[in-house]
Amino acid sequence: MKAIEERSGVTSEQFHNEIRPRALPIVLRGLVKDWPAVKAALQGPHECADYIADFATDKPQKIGVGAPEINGLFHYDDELRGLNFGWGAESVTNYFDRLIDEFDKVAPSSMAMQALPVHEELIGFEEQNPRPFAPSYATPYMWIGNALKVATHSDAYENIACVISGCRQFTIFPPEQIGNLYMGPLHFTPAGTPISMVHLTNPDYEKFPKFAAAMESAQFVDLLPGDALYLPYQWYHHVESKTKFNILLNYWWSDARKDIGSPWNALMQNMLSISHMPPEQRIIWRTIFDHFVFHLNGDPWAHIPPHARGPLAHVSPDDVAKVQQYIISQLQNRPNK
Amino acid sequence: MKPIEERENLSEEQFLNEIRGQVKPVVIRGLVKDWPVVKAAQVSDAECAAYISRFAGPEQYKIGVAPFEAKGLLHYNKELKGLNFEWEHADVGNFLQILLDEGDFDNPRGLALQALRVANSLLGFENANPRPSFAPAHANPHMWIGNALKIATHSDTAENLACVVAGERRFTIFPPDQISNLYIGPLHFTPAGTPVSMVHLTEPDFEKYPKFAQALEHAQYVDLFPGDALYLPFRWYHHVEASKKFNILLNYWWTDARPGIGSAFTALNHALYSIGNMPPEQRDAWREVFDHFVFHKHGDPWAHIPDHARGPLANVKDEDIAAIRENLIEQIRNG
Repeated sequence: MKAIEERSGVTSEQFHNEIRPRALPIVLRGLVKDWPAVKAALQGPHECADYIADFATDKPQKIGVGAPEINGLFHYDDELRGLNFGWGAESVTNYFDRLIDEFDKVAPSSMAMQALPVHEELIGFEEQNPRPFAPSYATPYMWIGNALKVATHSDAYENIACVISGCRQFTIFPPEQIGNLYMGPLHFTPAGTPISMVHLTNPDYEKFPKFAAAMESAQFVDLLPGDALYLPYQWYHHVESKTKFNILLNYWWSDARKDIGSPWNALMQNMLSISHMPPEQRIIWRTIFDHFVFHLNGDPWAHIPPHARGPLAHVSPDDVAKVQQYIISQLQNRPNK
Repeated sequence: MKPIEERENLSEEQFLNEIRGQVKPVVIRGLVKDWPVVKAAQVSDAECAAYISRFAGPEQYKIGVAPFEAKGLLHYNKELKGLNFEWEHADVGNFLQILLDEGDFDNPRGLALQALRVANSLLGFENANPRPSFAPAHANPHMWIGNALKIATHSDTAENLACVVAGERRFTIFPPDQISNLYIGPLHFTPAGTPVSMVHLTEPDFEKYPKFAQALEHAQYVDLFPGDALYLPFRWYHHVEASKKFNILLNYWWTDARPGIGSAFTALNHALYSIGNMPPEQRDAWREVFDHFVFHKHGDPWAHIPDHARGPLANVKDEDIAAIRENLIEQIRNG
């Protein structure tokens, strides 16, 4: 497997003007090595936990807890009828205590506090550990757990992931590998986003033969405290945290307008409609989508004067409510034809 | 330009396997030559008009009326702020008479009665002029009556069997993958309910629309006479030029898509609104997701998941459609 390209000494300007436009991942070693949180982690897990707990609210947070038998692999159960772990709730401080309690166990439980919103739950943390590169509208989240394997998935964001404590291996795949990753259900997922059914660390090639092709385009990196990874929009990633005490802080952001609705809703409507058409009709709709939605042949409106392009070509914020109402009214129409 | 393939003595099975199954257009000469309406047309325009009027009622329909200057080309106006023709109303019998009368003028207006639903509007016509076996029972017949007109290149969300009853009609057709070479116009406002090419086939402006030259390389054409038929596969683009003073076409539209799943155009509009307005690199990423889940580019996206876990959208059951739609509406309302 190929290692993800690494760059050091990258300036913020280079990051935004050179790296992001390529839409390729990059490792930024030592990007946050000067954070007090990272320095505390380098002294030890207790020091790191104490440092972070100081900022934490008392509010109970959702945690995932898996039996030792799952070996940290949070996923579906074998029959795909539920999950192989359970949910609980703890304050950040109590959760640190529970995590530390597992340190000496021969067969520790797997424990994860995922995507803790830093702004709301770790008051003042960001002032002392300032954001690198990530734009001001990026939202920081913290991920705290022991040795875990988080199944391959992708997010509708760009991502800068910074390791504070422990060691994390990211294995990543470009978005076009979707057909080789055997993505699981959309309506019911362990983490809010669909995940690959293939266990990266123990793949069943008989059941998932195309995963071998995905592996050919996979890249990986081991991140240590202070290191960061930039992951472009919708890149698939499997994340394995390897020590007893791992903390990641990541920034998610998207440059998409906020008023164009969720692309998942558009996907759902198309899955209802076009996915259920005869194959020869689907093929043709794909050509139409490639043209109008995905701009495969360039701007589909270039030859039409702006006043005649219609409300959907470059939707004006004033038209958003009207467009949404139109989509809703079409869905309300009783099925006919 | 290549002529469209013609086949004679085509059996139903051959039509199904060699034509529809191969997604190929085909000309079938004389398919409806025995229709009484065709025989009437071969006597005279007036005879044909009289024959059709027998089935017509007093209901008024929309009539497209273009000034002589439009040269029969029904399209947008020059500024793309409206159409170059107007809508009026007439009943079928009256319209047929107006059309016959217009034939005596040196500078006739363009007149069109488009897509008249035969089942509702010409009671008894279908019994007397039975559908060719190639059109399935659920295909809807529509009648198109007009003088010398050029209908801009467009495509329909249906398969089509088009039968010339009277006059002469030239179809110039393009496969669906020519979409980007056709310079398709606005989606929200169209002359005929479906988007049309901005290029005038009979006098193309290659400076403004250079890629249209490539489209023409893939074009095929046919001249159809009374009794002749053309099968046009789903969403093939077509320009239709009627060249006589009195032209009538009867066509059958049908689709094998199941009812209830909603129109693909609405789904397209949703995607246009949401994904079409994203930054380019995000659009690219969503294209992969759509290719996989919507267009099944890599095969059945659910094959590796047991039935019970595929979720409501994988193999939608008719009885779930209403709930799915309501759920979607709620999601859209919640942003």
